Amino acid sequence: MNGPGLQPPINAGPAWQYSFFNLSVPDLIVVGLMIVVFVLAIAIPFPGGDNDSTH
Amino acid sequence: MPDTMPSYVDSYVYLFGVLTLASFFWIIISGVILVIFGPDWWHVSAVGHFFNSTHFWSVQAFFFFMVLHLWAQFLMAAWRGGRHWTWIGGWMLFLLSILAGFTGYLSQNNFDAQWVGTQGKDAMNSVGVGGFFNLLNFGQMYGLHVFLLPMLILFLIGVHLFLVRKHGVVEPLPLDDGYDKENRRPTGSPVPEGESRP
Repeated sequence: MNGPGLQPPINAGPAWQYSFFNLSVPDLIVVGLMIVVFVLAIAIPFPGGDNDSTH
Repeated sequence: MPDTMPSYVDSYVYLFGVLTLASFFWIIISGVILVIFGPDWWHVSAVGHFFNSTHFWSVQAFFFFMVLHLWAQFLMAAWRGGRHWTWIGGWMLFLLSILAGFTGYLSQNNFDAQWVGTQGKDAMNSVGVGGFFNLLNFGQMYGLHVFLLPMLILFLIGVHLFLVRKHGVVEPLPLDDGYDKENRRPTGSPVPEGESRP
């Protein structure tokens, strides 16, 4: 067996697993960040734009 | 071609496309520098590491913003009003970009590249194209990555931008608040003769 100093060259770290779904922690962070950025892009008013909601 | 911006584009949602384009610009700049000096340089020297990382993070930004652009265009049904080729072209760009990203992983010339190559080669064989695309052939994958795929993507981006300029940005979906403004009555109620829209 491998000694303590010998690690597989690829180690993606911990991952969320459900059935055949497998998402690493970095994957989950990126997907979460995308949702946050998307919601903020819709919610934050655009500077200089006409944000008059009456028309 | 339209020469004024409609008021509804005053939103950050409309920036995802141009952010994808800006990321692509940096991918090309850093990629050209990597091509000039080669793998021996980008794996060993500090400056090589810097441009290798710049290339990698530009790709992360490219896909990040491209998928956000895709979400936005999907949710506003951006294929309306004769814009179907813009939509289809965007999908072709997305799929080609995945191939470009994949051949990029294979071109790294490191353990990751070998791992991805040996795993992917079985997938290629299983769909019957293993005789044409050998994922363990660095020269073939590198050639696809630095020339053929970027040229195709560049061409399709040109077409995509031309179509966006030609048709303009898609108008927002109509707001169904139960009131037909044009005919000044509840939505769906009959419009009497002689009183209808022009």
